[in-house]
Amino acid sequence: MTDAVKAVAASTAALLALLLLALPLVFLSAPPPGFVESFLFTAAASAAAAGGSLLPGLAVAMAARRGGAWGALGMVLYVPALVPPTSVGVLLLAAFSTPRLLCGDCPLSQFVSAWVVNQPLGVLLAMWVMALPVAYSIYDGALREERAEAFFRSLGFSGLRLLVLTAMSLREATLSAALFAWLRGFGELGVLLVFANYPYAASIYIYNAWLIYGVGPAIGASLAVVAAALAVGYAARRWLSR
Amino acid sequence: MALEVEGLEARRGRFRLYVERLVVNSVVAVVGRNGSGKTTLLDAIAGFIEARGRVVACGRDVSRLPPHKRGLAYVQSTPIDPPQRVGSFLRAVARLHGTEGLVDEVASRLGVSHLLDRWRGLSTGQKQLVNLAAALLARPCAFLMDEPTSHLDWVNKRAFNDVVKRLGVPTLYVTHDPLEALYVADMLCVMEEGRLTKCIEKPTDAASAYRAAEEFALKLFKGIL
Repeated sequence: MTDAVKAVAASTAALLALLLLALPLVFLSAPPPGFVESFLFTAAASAAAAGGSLLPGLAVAMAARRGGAWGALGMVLYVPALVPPTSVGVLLLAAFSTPRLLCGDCPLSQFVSAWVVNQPLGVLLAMWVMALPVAYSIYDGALREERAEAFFRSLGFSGLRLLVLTAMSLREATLSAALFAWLRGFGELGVLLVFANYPYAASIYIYNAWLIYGVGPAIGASLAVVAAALAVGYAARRWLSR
Repeated sequence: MALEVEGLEARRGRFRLYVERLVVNSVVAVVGRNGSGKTTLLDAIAGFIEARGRVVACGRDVSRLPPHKRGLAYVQSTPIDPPQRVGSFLRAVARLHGTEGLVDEVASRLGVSHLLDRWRGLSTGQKQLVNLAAALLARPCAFLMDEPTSHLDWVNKRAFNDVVKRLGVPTLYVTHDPLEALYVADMLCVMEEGRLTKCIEKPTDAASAYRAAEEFALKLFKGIL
């Protein structure tokens, strides 16, 4: 590593630490009530969303490698990453409003109102949509390096078993995809604000804390989230480098 | 039991592969320079890219079958990490092909018995032997091997190739190392610009040529040179 690389790396990390950790400490105060519940709910929902994004992300990455029309599948998965999250929220809201438009107060539209929009299932769905491009892009990169799929298929594996074996064989990629998809879901705000703003995910909780209680409590909650994310990232890094 | 290829035509971008006829009864090495189409040939035979023509394995035409039904075990240049403990993985493959009773024998034959409880931390050579063991348990009609020793050191390369020579299963072995081809194969084919330009039986004096090269390599390794 050259001195120039060291200097750029150190100054970048120092600047981020200054802006996101050190300077905000001046305003720090305890987060308002409900933080732990919101944090745990967000962690659980984003973990479920990340877990649920792995096999679909891998399947699309495997299919997209065949090129042609299959390659276009990959582009579809990039949509949530390309457009602003608020747009994704608006699009999801519109999609889930169609049952009411088409069939009025039918069982399907009742189900959507009762269980999806502004409900825990809606939060999970929003996080899953945002996690998919992360899982897809990480597996896409991993499959370029390795030909695990070809090996397992030639051994006679197909279908779901093929996907599971490939995911388990690409364990570094799988862990990275799970971790980054989890972080993506955990930090999501735009989609949730429009499509599923209840129960409060951590991002909405912090936004509300800032609006209602001011900067200090919002910083307290933010730094707690930073600490948790750093701990998870550090643990994953240790595991990967074993 | 043989692998036969007839009129095989495949495209990868602007590159075109055409093989008029190739019969693999023992170990056939395909040598050629980078970009000559060796991997494309294996991919086309294995069914991983679209191809026209006939591929016959175990006496049946498998040309229209998906890769997992062709009975062609494809060993890659970069060994694939076992997805679980080595023993569990080999047993999973064996269950699929009704070869559960052979797991211990195959593991012992390939010298990986001591790895059955391991999952992580395998060396590249060990992983490749585990890949070969899994492929053997799939009871394939033929092996397709794409530079399987390219990540192995010279000693492991030799050990791996000794196993390949004793497999007794038709093997199409791609390499760009002519010396390795001389050692492992009974027939050598040359691939240039997507075509097999010639196939010859291994010359009888090839063994002595290989031994001379091996002695040279041994001296080099031992620091005598």
